[in-house]
Amino acid sequence: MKNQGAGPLDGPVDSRHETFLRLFTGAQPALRRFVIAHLPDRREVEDILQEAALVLWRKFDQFEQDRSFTAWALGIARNEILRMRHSGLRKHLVLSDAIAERLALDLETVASEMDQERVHLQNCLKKLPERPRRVVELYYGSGDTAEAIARALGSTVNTIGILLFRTREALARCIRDARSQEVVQGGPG
Amino acid sequence: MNGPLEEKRLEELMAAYLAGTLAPEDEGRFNAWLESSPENLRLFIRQLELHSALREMYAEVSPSPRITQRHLRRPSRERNPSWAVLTAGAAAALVAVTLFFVLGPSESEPTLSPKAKETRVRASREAEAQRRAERERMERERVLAEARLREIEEKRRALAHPSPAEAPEMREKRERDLLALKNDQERIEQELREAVLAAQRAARPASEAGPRDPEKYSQPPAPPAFPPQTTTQVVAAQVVEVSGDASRVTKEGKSPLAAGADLFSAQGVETGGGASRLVLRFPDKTRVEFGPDFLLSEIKTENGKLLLVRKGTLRAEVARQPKDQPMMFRTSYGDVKVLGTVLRIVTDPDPKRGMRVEVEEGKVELKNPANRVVTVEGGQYATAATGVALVARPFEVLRTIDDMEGPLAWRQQPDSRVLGISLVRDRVHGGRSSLRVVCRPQAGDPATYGTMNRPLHLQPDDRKLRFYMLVEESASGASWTLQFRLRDTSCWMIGEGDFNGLSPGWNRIELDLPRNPKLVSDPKGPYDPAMVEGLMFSICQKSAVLLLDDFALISAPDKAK
Repeated sequence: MKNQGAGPLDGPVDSRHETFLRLFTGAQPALRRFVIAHLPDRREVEDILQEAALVLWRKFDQFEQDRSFTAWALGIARNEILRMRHSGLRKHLVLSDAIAERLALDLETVASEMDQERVHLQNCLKKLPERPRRVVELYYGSGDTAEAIARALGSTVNTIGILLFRTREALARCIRDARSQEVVQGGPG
Repeated sequence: MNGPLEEKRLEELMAAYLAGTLAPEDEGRFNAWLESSPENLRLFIRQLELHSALREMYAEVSPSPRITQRHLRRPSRERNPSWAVLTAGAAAALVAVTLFFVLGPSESEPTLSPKAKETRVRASREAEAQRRAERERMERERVLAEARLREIEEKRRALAHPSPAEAPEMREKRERDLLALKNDQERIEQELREAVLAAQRAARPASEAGPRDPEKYSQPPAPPAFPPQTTTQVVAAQVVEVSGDASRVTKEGKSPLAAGADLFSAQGVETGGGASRLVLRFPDKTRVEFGPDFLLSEIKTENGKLLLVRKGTLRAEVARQPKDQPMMFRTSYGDVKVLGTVLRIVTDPDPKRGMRVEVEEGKVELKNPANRVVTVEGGQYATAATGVALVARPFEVLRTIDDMEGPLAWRQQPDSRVLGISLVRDRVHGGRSSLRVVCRPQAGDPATYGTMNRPLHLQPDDRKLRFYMLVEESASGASWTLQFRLRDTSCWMIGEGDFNGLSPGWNRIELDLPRNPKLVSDPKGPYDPAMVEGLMFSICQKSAVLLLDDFALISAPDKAK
């Protein structure tokens, strides 16, 4: 249903733009994670995000204020991913609708929490042993594929995947520890 | 809670998913796992958060050099011209060699039959995709090689200008370093040559792959001849029957499929709706029949036969397979390993229904995504689905409808001859009592038959009716009938026979429930098993005294689905 009440969405374009930017900025981390969840190793992530942002802006006057903007944005992003599938750029989506829905719900609530832990993440990365750190830098920093890293390191794709998985788990533990330490000390140092 | 094996497998699947290397055949089980437990989903979200955070964090800082460029340095404009020519020439030559081998020579088109041309076009498309990937890889290797050569050149330049007062030992060291650099350069060139050969081997058809003389790797071999049509793809099976719509499924898309066509390794089939059907025959005479709306995404033949089933129902008559090369059917619900049998696989998009494997003959092994294995033997079936225990069950399920052990459930039909109906204990088939029926026609009986009935409701999988009968006495020409009575009071013939044809003692009588039974009374309506509400037993024409016991319905999966 189209928004018909008086409010920020009905104001001048500048005001609407400002409102949109504010809402979009808030939803962006969840949006990015949602798209990455569907396309974990794809360069189309940025394309989808840009396209989703355009669609969101175009349809912004249809956004109902009493709804969650993030939930609405995630729905639009999902449609964009589906549209890409239908256009043949990607034959199918791996994640089922049920999982996509659960993800959207979870991401809505946890997206902002992760941002506060960026500092912890950087510190935890420094604590990693050399090999995992190197693989993380190659994979995330250089954008190399798991196959390329496996070739370069004389390993297998499976091993690199597992190494990345375990490294992420180690980082999650490290961040959790840092967070609990922070609570004990009364705030981030 | 996941077991250790499940955890390991989940870890592998999740790692593969986030690394972008999850195999299509694992997608279903990955989703099923995520859906099966909140714990699994939490793990996935935790991984996803870290994955996203790392990507975002690294995206914000200046990008790290890629593997292929991390040693790249800006080349000096003042470098020695002879070295510049040497290194640039070496790199250019290596690139030329690379492209030559990866792209392959362009030969004139030999004369081929239309079928051969079609096959070759298909093969070329696939080969082109592979070559493209290799070209990209080789391009990265080339950048890396150039970078290393530049490094060598810079070091060499530094060593090429000795100080006028260079001590003899320093001169010796400098010469040693120069020699080491030369060796490095040769080694890099050799690495690139080997990479070229590896790319060439990867692009070569599987039939040509195999052990080769290692010495040949040290020098670029002569360009290979264009592979003949017969070796471009392995024929996995032949399409022997097609009804309705059927398509060949390849990485490039779908194309219509007709009887007589060859299906190649790495290809699949899809059938349309309605009555569409397709039958494949493999070289070992294994026969697989696919029902409507079936999708087989791929057949792999590298080590035995592996069929990746996405949806639908199939029936397979599998010839005896080599012990170390079983035939495998892989679905998102599990793997079915077959050594030789007749079986049927029914998949359902609903994870709660999952996959049902019915074995008519032989033995198969069914493994679900949690690596739990069950052996299903002839006459058994098993279901791999969310929330369903993975156990083999009898193919036929006997559902007792009346073992005559309880109160008398049969009633005399009012408009028929009078029957004597009672539970007796002197002659039983099993248990403590049976039903005795006495039919002695009297003059003036309104009908030529005596009928009794009892309530009965069928279930969709009911296929047979079984009961036991013992004839104490019967007049010549006396006969019996069994009918179903529907809710609208119409009666439908299920079975009939003469008492004289039965053996002394208890006779087991098994009747297949007909799909279209004969209507024997008004009203004339369609037969609907769901509307059955009674079973009617009649003794016709002459007198007879008999015992009945252990009425049961046999449920079995529907073969005709």
